[in-house]
Amino acid sequence: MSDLANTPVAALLELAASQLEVAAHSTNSQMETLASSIGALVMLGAELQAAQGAGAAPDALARKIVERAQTAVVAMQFHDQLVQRVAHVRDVLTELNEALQGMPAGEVEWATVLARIRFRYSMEDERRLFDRIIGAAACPDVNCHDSTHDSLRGGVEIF
Amino acid sequence: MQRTIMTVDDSTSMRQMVKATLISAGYGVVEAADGQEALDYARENPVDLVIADVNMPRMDGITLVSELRLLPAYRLIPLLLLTTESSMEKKMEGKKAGATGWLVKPFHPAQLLATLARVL
Repeated sequence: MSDLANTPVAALLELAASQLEVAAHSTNSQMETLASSIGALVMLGAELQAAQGAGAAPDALARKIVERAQTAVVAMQFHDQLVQRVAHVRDVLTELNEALQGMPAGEVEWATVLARIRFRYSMEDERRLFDRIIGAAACPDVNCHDSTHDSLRGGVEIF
Repeated sequence: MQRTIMTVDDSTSMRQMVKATLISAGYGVVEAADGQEALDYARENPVDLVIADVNMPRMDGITLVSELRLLPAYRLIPLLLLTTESSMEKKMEGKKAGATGWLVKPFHPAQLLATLARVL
């Protein structure tokens, strides 16, 4: 393991572990929102049936149902994000494996490897995690860009 | 007359969420699982707007936008990219390819519908 001293291997493994932790946390949070929305929709459906039976105008209930359904639609997108987050962990491990194939760790061009890994990240929080653990200075390649102008989740831009 | 929107995403659950949102607002919806399937459909059928993911197998969303812009029927059609990609570089690639707009996942249904109302 002394061969790995002064290389970013340990930091990359920490990055992969942290990415999985973020993926699990994010998925749990969105699943809770989804479960809560579905529970509320069931309750609202029962209220709607009761209101219709009593001949009451259900406008407010209908609005609540639409709001809860929209919240569920946002939360339901957890799957797409989870798949991408896990794919990016796989990418880190694959890049690491390929870099170390047949070459002592001390001879690997780590700046290039790190740039390739960071370039694959599609989510703003993934790049922030990379910069926090690996350090932006460790990745001077042009692909390791300033992310201050990147879009946030749910952002819309019309060109 | 009902407007038809094509949703292009390799994630079935994402297509279902987009489709449910669009149908709830009265749009007709066609689905494609990747850029190539979308392009094959578009060559034979006009639609009023396309919402495409960026990272997809066979043909990515940015290439799809470039290819669609070469079709006379799609020169002026709004083409939106809906993606987890949030970097400025990717966004600029999409703009250069001819995309009308860039939406970062997860989308909120009301916001997506408001965006469609702006560009249609």
